[in-house]
Amino acid sequence: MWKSIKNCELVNLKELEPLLITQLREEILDKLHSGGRLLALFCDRNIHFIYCIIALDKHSQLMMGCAFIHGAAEYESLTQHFPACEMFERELFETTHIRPLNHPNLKPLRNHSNPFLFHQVHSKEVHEVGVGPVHAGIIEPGYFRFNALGEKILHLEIQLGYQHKGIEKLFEDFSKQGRGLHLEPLAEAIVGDSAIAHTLAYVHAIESLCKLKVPKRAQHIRTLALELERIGNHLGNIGDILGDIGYYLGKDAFIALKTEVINAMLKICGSRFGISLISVGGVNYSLADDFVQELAELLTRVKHNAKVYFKIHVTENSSVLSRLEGTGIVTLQDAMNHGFVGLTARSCGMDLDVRSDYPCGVFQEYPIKNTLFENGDVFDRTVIRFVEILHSIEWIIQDLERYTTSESREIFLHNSSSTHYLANHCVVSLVEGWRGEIMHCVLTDDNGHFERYKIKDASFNNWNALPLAVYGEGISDFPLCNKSFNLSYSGHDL
Amino acid sequence: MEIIFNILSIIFIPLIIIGVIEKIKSLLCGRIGNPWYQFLLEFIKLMRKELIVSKRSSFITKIAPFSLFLSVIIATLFVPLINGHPLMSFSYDFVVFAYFLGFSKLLTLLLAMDSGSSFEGMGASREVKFSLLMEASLFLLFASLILVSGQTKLNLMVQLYLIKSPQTIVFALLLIIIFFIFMLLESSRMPIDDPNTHLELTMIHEVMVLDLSCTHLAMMSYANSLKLYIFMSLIINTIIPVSHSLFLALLLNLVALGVLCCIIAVIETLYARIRFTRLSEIMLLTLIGAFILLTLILYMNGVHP
Repeated sequence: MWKSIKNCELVNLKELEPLLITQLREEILDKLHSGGRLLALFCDRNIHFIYCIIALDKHSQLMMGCAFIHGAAEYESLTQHFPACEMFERELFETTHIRPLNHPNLKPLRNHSNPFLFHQVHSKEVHEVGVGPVHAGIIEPGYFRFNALGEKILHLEIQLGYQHKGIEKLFEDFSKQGRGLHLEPLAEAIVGDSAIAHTLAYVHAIESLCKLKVPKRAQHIRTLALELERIGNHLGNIGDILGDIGYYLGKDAFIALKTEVINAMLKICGSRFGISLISVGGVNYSLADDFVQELAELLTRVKHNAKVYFKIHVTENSSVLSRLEGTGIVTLQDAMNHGFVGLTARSCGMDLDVRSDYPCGVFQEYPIKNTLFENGDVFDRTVIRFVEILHSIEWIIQDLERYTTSESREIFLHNSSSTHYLANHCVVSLVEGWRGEIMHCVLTDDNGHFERYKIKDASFNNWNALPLAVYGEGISDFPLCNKSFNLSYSGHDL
Repeated sequence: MEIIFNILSIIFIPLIIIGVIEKIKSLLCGRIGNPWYQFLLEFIKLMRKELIVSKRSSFITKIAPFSLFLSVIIATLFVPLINGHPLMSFSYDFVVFAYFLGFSKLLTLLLAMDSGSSFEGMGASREVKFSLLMEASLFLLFASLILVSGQTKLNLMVQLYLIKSPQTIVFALLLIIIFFIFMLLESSRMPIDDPNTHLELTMIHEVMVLDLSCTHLAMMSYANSLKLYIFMSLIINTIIPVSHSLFLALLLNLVALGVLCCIIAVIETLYARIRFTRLSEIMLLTLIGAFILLTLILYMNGVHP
């Protein structure tokens, strides 16, 4: 039996009737054929049930299904029909050892105790280049193996898992030790640069489970912080893309703008990445009235400067354009087949945005503009960042007015009666981080503790975009393509 | 006197010239940046570090950095430096000059291949690809210079200001542009190669010295900087006449070096790196430029097809 739910809607697990694995597989295939998108495929800790969540983006519906395992050791893989399931099935296999038969690429995902057999091209002309896992500069670890024909990339394989810290298990263990409701510091540590988006997904899930109603003002501050995070990271990304092609003039301009934006966050909550701002039941910091004015002025200035800089350093700079245009193309067909999300998907024409597809909080009343591009090259991924910055700034400036005129000044729910999670329930919470869709799914057990806490960052879907983008490109363009996605290792490795 | 100044300039100018360019670049980008003597500090730091040599490398890694350094120094001996005076000069010395530079390149390649790293092999193949095109255009250039000046010594060949004819401006411009591109390639500057990047896959020169440390790395970076100075001097001596007063000559030379540093810094600031697949087009451009120069000069000298 499938259960149709909305973003942050509670599901009683007892109402979810389990199917057999083969049945579940057939029904997943049906749903994927009719335009569904696989959002999660995971097992509970005791390996009794498989849970599956499918997103029907056009209807703003999430479908949740479940199946008994009953000692089943294998099933026919979904990946052979839908490549988008590849990572999900690899993850499921690694955690449960239920083998998806005829899976084309069943390699370890995070666990390094099993050997990772790289593809090899047997030819005297083709050479292999291994990059990583420790890279130059201050970035996270991941291993890239190239098969290159001279300067041309024939094949790229990525081995991740070096950042695995068992964060899902940490959520569950802390909950079972009865450490209370507040695991925000854990959620902030999932992906450091998307601290707000992940914390938001966490608190949305918890607030549904505890049936808390967050004050309006807190919702405004949360959404504002989410968009500030997006603006800051997008500005930094544009700068980094320019830095990778050796155009330091543009890089410095955009990094300086980014600093202004994240310093505004510093003034709000004492952390440039928004650590400790959001809490279950509200937010910990309010915006002073004079600061609201200051923030609006700052953002207007940032918007103006970003427009000027983008014109000078990107769209009217032929040497930059010659590097960005036509490099690292991801086609719409590839994006749909492989289930990419977020700005990677939007840059090649896939209309996916949690803010408009599954609106939550302030976005329900005041939607934000959505942007689509077609070419899916590095240039489009740069421009879409710029356009999203403009939209977010416009939205924040409008929202600041609504914020100041709102009557209630409460930002935190002090008299929360319920401090326990509902037992045997499940909730799926979706948030659009700056990389894309972030999903947190919580299952509670009989005692009302977390039985399973499942996290999916946008990077989990999108890492497969990189090999597709660099296929046939020059090997020296790889860093640029990589930076244009700027995926998180930590978000993938969890 | 000039000999002393020449020796001093060979020792000191390469140590500060990179730092000066980087400082100007920083200022143009609106940053404070490192001090102008940063390169010198790094050189001293490298000299004081512990030498680490990969166990997999052979004797080549031990001898190549110093031999390479020496061969670039020998090539520098023939280059007109301050007031158009080289330290050494004889007929057809440009061949020795070119092939000592070439020998240094051969040593770099051996050094890169010796470490057995996949990165460095890639860098070596890139370096060869561009040097191949450079050698041809360098000798075409020398041929036209001999025809136009009637001299066979490198220091006298480049003195284009001596020829009093309006066409010289065209020659000089073409020559300077070609030398300039050589300079960017040889010293791995932007927009051909990015000396500041940390991305191994995009590097040309830097990727070949990834496994070096201490004095080996110091020698390599000094030699690289010296190559920059060689080509700067060639450009300067094409335009700036020999003067009677040594003081004036020194002053002019320093000003010209400063101006060249500024030009390099401005170009590096304003342009993104050229896409790698299009770099060979730039090198082919030097070849075409050299052909045009030669054709023009042959035509002027009365050789009509």
